[in-house]
Amino acid sequence: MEGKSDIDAAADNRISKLPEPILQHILSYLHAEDAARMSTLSKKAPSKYNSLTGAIFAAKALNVLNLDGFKIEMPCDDAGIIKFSSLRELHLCDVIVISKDLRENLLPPLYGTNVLQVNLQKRSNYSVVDVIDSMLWISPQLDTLIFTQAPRLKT
Amino acid sequence: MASTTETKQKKMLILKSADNDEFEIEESVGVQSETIKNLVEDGFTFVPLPNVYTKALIKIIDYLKKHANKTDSNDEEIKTFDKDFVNTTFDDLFELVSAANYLHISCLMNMLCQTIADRIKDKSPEAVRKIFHINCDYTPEEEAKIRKANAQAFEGQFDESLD
Repeated sequence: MEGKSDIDAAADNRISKLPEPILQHILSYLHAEDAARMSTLSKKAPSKYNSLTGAIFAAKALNVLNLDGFKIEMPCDDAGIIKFSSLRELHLCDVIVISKDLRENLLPPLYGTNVLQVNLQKRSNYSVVDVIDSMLWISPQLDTLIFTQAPRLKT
Repeated sequence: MASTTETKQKKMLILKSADNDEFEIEESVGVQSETIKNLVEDGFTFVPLPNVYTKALIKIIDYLKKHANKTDSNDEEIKTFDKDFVNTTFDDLFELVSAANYLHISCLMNMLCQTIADRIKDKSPEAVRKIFHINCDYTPEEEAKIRKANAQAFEGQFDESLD
């Protein structure tokens, strides 16, 4: 697996480099873990976190949203923006801890949310502290954080 | 001008690709693209597409023609067509997705993004970087740190192939 292959030749291809918004759109179709792996592509490469935070629909009338594994079907419009700022309550079925490095560069995605319920369906390698820390970053205005199946977390 | 009787000839549009090839299509086929629709509403019948190359445009016109004639009875046929449509190289898919994005054809855009996502989902970041022609600008230390932070996502074997 060592030795660089001759991929550079392909760089001549006129549309070999996709514009970032399109790349972001494609990565938004990935599930959380595949997307997390893609966050190491490059500093600029969008990841699920970027698309979750930067992305999509203005949820003005939305009060409760259930997400399974952060998979969001994006409507295909050019704005591609989800704004969760008015979301008051959120139920999650899976968590990904957003690393500190990424947090420094992003805005909290759920700024207006005050109830967050996390229902862990899979065993997780994250510690309770990491998850809570990350959740508090995601929603700085949180009143209530509910964990169901908390034993699935590492202590 | 408002007469759209059936006896009237079908309205036609000319699309011009980035490599200056011209294609004549029916207006009803073309307006599945929001970009073309907006131009048609502004009275254009000649549509230059400086961001869409001939190769991609031919495929996209095929797609639009097929989907313009969508009925309940040819559902299976269209599914087969779509499956065949996306069965191509990554570079071709990227050209098509750029074109679909520029032309604002949302059903095509969704299908292409889903296809590309499905094809990269089990691949290693190294393979995906090569496929997307992305240069890694992380230092090995930075990359290791991110891998550690998202360790769960890196468990198991990944596909290193580039197709």
